[in-house]
Amino acid sequence: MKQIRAQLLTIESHSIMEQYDLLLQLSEAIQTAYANDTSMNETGLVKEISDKIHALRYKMAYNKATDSGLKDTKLKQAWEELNKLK
Amino acid sequence: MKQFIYLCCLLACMVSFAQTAEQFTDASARKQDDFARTLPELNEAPEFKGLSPIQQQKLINDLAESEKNTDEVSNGLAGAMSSTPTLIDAWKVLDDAGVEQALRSDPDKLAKVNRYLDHHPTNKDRFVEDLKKTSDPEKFIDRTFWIDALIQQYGNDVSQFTTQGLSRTDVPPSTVDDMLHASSAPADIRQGIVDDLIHSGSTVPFKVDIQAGDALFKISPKGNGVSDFSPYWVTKRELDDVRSEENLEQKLGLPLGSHGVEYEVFKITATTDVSAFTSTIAPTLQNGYATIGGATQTLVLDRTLWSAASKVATFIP
Repeated sequence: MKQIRAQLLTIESHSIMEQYDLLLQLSEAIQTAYANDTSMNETGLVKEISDKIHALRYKMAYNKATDSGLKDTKLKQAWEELNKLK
Repeated sequence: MKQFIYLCCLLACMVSFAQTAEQFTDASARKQDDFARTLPELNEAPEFKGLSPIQQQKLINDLAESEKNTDEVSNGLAGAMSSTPTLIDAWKVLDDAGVEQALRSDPDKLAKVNRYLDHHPTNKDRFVEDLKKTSDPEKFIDRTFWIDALIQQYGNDVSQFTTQGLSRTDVPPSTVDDMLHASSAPADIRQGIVDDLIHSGSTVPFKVDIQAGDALFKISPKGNGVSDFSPYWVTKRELDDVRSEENLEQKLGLPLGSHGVEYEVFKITATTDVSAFTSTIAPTLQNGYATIGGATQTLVLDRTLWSAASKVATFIP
């Protein structure tokens, strides 16, 4: 969890496509952690990743070069999966 | 008696069929011999030997047909294949996709397919499947080659893409306020994305009232879909205008990654009376690749007031 928090802190310093890859990875990592430990309670961290994904969906859509239905679908799926953990 | 006549007829048919088949086989064998004699380099090419006997025969026929239409100036199919035997692979791809003889015998198209597959060898199966489905195989080949050549020349780095439009300081504060107020984006990124919208246009965004039931449209490369928050749309009239032009990518200021061989048209409908903003699409730059813009975009800042996007058409420009 420490590693995920550290990566979230610096995520804005990455390019928009790097943020896309990173947030999908972080989302996957925290879902796996929850699956492996049913007593886990990291609601704050989950919300933080979920909010960042939500914001990134906007940022990508408003940038003509990254406005892609395929990529948005992946972010949306990750966002929905995280919301189930909240 | 009836049975006897029936048997006689059946026997006669079989004999006739066998004779025809024999004649056909003879003719095919003759053609094959002629081919081996006149074009030994092709006959011995590994690409030719890799074809099935049926496709070998079909290619020999295509070469013979092409020969009839070849003049002294043009090189013809045989000449092109002799100098570049890998064109046989491209011919096979076109034959596998079921394209008509004139197209699969066109050395220019074969060279384009050959070059594309040379750059993307793993795309072969997908290319064949897409070619089978397209409404215009000739345009499909030309546009696949064109887009690939652009990507080879300029790359497809999205971070290199910039719109060459206005800045916030060029826009009256009241318009900026209207846009910020209309946006459904999270508060902490709203300023930034409104700046992106302003910069995507070469004119000051103009607020327009849209009535419930009115529709807007978006063109997206086939298979890419549309994101839930995309603000970039056009009216039906603008859509018809850009579709009628050959350089729609230029007029829409599209990034290289949004250049499609084929496009899908998506539609959204306002679910309530709503405001949007129009501006002229600004020129764009991406690693030296420039578009001129010029079409009118309608900027939708709150997609929650619109229906989900639905696909209404597919076309190849």
